[in-house]
Amino acid sequence: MCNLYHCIWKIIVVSVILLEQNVVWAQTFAGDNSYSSHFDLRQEAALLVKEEKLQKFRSILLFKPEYVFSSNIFAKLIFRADYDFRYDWDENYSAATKDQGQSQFEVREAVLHWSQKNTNWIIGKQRISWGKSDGIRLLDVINPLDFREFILEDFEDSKIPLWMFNRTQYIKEWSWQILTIFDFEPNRFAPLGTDYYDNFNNPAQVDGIQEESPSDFALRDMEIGNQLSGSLGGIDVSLNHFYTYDDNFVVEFYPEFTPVGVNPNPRKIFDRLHFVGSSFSSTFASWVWRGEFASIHGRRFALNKEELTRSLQNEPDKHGLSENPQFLGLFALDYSNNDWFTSMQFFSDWVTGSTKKLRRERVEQIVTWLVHRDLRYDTIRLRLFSLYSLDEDAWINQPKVIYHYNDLLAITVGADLFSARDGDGFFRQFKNKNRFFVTFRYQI
Amino acid sequence: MFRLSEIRNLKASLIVLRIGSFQRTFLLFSLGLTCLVSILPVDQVLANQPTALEIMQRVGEREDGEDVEWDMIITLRNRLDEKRTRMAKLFRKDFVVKGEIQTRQVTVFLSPLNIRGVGMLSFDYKNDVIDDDMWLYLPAIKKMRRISAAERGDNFVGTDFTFEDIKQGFAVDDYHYKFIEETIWKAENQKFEVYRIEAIPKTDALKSALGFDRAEILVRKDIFMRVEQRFFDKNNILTRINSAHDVQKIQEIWTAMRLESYNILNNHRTVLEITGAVYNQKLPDSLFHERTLVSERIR
Repeated sequence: MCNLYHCIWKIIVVSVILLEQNVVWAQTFAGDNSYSSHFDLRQEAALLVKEEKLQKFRSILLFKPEYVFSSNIFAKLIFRADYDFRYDWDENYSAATKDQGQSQFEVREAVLHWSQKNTNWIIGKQRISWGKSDGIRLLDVINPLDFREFILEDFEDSKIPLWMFNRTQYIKEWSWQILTIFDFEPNRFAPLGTDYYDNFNNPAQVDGIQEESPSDFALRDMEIGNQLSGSLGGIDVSLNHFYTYDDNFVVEFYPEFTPVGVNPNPRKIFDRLHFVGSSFSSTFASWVWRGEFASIHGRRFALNKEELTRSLQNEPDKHGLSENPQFLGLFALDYSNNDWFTSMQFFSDWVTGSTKKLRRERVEQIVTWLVHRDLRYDTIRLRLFSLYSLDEDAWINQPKVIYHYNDLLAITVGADLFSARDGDGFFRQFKNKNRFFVTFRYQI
Repeated sequence: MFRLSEIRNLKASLIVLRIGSFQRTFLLFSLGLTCLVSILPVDQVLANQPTALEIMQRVGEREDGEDVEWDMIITLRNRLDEKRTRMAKLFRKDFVVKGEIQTRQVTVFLSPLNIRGVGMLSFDYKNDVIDDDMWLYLPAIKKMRRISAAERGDNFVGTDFTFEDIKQGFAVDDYHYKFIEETIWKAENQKFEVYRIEAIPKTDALKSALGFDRAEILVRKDIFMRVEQRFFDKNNILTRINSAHDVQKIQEIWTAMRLESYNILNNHRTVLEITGAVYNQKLPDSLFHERTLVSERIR
């Protein structure tokens, strides 16, 4: 790790080199084909309200070269480098936390795009969006997520890209998308010791235990997605199937009974799932109604403490887990007029079968509300996104103002506000992590 | 029952019997003409010009090619004369689906970066029973958002043009028309003979969706192109003017190479210049599909 001044210096040097190369490449490739490249520079700062301390001071650089070979073939790359200076200023972070959380360099996109008359190919590392929901993932499960900032980042920023073949076949009014995914990436949790460390899905006790991940580029571990989409009687519909691995691990126990006690012998496993779902949307007068539903088969759930002990003794072959079918549903209504947009979503997640023994609730329900207004020819956007968990009685409110000073520079000011009762839960764990933030984004 | 004019004509025919042959022939001709005029509706006799509805139907039927590709530069100017420039592409194609004609259109922004990839897909049904379908693609969230009919009058991606304007097609059946006058329209040091037509959206819901209560449309007599539209609010205050300039014949199709939308209320103006127009190149059907926008294949 470098100190602050070294890091600033490195970012400046790298930016200048890339800018210079940009001009050289643009000149080299001038002709019928075209080369272009762009930069996206962001400076993000967040202040924790209760602790009155800087939570992040992160610089992000995205470099996006693109080469168009012909009207139907192009290649596109997105490199991302980020560095959080807060880790240099705060001495409370361990070396391990710093290593995991301070900086990141990754290829966000590396694709060759080729379109024929009725077929479209996108080959390479990419992110896919499925479904019709906002701020909640139901069908949009192709890419895993980076939870370094919990669910506060936009999904497109937190999606982890995957290597895949993405083929779309157009059949009259319908399209059939086939995804063949070669590599496996689990959800990335925030490092232990950081503000958004997820103790609910990634408890500290399981940190460091043996993990059995699916193999990359192995035929048997491929993930395959199919989406058929089109219009039925004026309603946009899609039918989706995704044969995948769960992006969250479960902990299997292989207890060994020894004279001195029981060794639980835990292992992190990623379950094979069948994800079958559908989405729909249409208009009715001034309203847009939309929704998604899905059924998940093959997912296993952690047992509560009492049940875990009993299960390990009586049903050791279940390894302390319970396989239950799961159903997800979302219904939403949008209304828009005079540059106002408002949207309500109701999301429900049911686990069927015997659920009393599970660590999670049988039904989990969430309501969201989104309202935004564009002002001054879309140069200012006022936005509020609120999410309420009915089961945890927990709120997340995200008000923000985005100001486009010009076409290059945008400034965002906002807050992430949590409100919850005390206790354990997915949302409750961040009860005291209210923050204000400001982001400067410069694109050239 | 005889009308008063017919009784007068009868009296005149009796007088004819008492005068000479030349006068008799002349009077008989006059009498016949008078009878004809009294029987036919007045407007059919006088109307050499088409009605307002016929004019607008001719506007709707104007030849615009089976498909078209436009390259566009869109310039926004605010009241301080500060300028923002966007580049965009537009594709349009006529389809016949289950015997019904529909026009599909894709519009995609290519620059600047903060709106690159933002696109609109619209299906314009000639059948007025069905509302047109519109979708907006937002690359920031990589999703298509369906747009309700109520948003037709909203500004399109920060321009003075509305979604309805960008959709290009003209929904003839959405309005009641009234012929106002024939007049002269001056633009680019040229004068054009035009019809001035008043168009009033048929329902309150349409008025609300389109964002105006009344419009005055100037239609060029020679080519049936809308060259100016003045939009009035419910207080009959002029709020916005759309105009078409630099009309050229490209591949035998009349094309306005510069479209302007001027918002009078805040003195903001958007100019859309067509830098390239190609018609009838047999664009693939698959281009007019939401996946085209989602896969960001238009560069």
